[in-house]
Amino acid sequence: MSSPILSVRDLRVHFTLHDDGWLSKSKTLRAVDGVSFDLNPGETLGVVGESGCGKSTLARAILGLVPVTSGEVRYAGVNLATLNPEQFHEQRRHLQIIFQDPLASLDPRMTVGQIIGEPLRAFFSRMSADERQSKVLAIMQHVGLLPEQINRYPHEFSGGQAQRIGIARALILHPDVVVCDEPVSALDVSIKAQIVNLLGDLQSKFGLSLLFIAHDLASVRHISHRVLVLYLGKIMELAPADEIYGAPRHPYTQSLIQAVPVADPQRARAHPAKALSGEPPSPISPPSGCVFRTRCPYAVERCAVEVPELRQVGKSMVACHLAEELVP
Amino acid sequence: MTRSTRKNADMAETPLLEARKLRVEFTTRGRVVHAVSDVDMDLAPGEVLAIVGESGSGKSQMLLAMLGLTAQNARVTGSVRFEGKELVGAPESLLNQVRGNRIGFVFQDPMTSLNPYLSIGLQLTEPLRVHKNMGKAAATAQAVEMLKAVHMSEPEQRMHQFPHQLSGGMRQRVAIAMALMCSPKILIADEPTTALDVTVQAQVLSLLREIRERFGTAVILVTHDLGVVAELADRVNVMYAGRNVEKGTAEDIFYRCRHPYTEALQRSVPQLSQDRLVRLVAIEGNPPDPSALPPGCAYAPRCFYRLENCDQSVPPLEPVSGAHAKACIYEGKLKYQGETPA
Repeated sequence: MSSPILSVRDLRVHFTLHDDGWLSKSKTLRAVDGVSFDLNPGETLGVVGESGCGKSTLARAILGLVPVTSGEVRYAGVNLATLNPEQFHEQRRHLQIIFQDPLASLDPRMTVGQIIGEPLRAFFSRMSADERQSKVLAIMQHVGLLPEQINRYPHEFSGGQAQRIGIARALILHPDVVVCDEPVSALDVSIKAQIVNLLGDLQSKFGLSLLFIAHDLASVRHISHRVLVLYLGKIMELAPADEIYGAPRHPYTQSLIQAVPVADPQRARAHPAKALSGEPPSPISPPSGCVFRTRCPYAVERCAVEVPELRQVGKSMVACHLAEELVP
Repeated sequence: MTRSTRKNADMAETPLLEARKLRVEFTTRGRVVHAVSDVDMDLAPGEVLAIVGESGSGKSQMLLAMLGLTAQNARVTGSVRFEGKELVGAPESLLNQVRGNRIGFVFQDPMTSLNPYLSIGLQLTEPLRVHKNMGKAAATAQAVEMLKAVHMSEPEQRMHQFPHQLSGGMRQRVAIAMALMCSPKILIADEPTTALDVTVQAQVLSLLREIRERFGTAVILVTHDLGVVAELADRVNVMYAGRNVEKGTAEDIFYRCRHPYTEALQRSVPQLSQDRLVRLVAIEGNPPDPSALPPGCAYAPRCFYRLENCDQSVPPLEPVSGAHAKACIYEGKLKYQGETPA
């Protein structure tokens, strides 16, 4: 297997919160807490977790959009933290991002052509306007936008069309890695499928590696080769998609799957979506030991004492003391 | 145009809520936006009716119109009868007796439907004090009971807290509790789980199921998520571009649907059980602009089964069998019916 295009090692992003009281101690919020994974060329890695689990912070940290507390992000073997600002800027063209809310991520006062062409201005300042326009038109065609839409403004587009603009902007520099931060969560059902299919097509066309973030397992099902399950800033399970969906090993992965309602009334009546009790604890004061233990139906004493390491079990990487016993 | 079916002969009781030819139009900048067109709806006591559609399909406007909550520039026509009383054009005094008292409302985003300045206790007791003239102590006791019924931990302490101190799932429980305070006959839940995480969504769904069993409340559930529909609904109305394009029991809609849009909607939903890396079946194009609807069937431009006559006239909602009705002139078999999504 070829070497990974992106490798993340023991990444931590901690935020210090200052309380109002001047005598109170400042607290640390561990948004991402020791995350390691590789992304291979041409691969899609799904990243799944509930709100507040650190998935967006992880995306931003990889792109250098939030300060990293410790750990490494290597792109094509180069540790991005060791680069000076110019070198980092140069590497950043290979790493792009698509945001969740398509309309909020587009400047309302810029035309579609200006929005999509902006990365070209940032990286190739001497490129002629004509050349830039022809590149913009070419990428617009790839994402399914019409050439006559180049002078329109974002507000004239529906959510799905606006997301196509965001995708065109991310792809115009022909990046290797695209981080998709919940790109379809805000879209309507019928449009979601269009965008997921488009991303799959573009991936095979341009050989992209995708980090595809979502808050539920169903939406990454169709695009992911492997899936990473995050909870409170830590990896619970990292496994090939068939394992995650067919034989989930971590109790949290299992409950995420059981919580998805099935679009089949007879099956839903027989086995209603199973709720996980409680809600995720605060990342400011995470539970001792395994962070999932407070909601885990299988928790034993050991879980409160010892932090489970992420380890190989079968084809999966699982962070659970009981992984062998909980046969899926 | 043929009058829509008067169906449900098996429904012995008179409907609790009955809408006929409900129409909502907005006039903006000289253009008329047809938000809801000629919708009929029946709700029997204790049943769960799901209204399914994408954004802009008119599902929320239809419910707002029933309770006189549409914006000032809306024109609502048709009839909505609740417990024998006509609600369209009814005076505010009558509507105020119904809203929050006989019919409870739960909105999508609990943070915007709860008042950030008022304590949970004050917001929960307000409906009782307004509608039932209840004293403070009695209202407080009942609010605590209701918080217990929606499985809030430490209900007494919650009464003194404010919305920002609660998580999203807890806020939605409070919103549900608030809607149930006056023991309404109908609970209208507009996308109640859309803003929540999957695991919390499952909690809220099981809570709604429990409420219906325990209090016998009829529920109108507005959603775009077919999974949520399958979990709860007895009957389903599918909306597209302001019209009801198909209606029937949950089984009719999921196993024997006859409208191409319903079929396409089902096939575009990602399922956990499907094979990986299988292409989703997308519905091409976009929903139409409600101020410039295409002639004839509004779905025709995106429809896989389109016939020559589809743009001639709006297809009426006609019975298929029993309570099942569709608004489509295509009589052939839909390609993927009989195929279980599993």
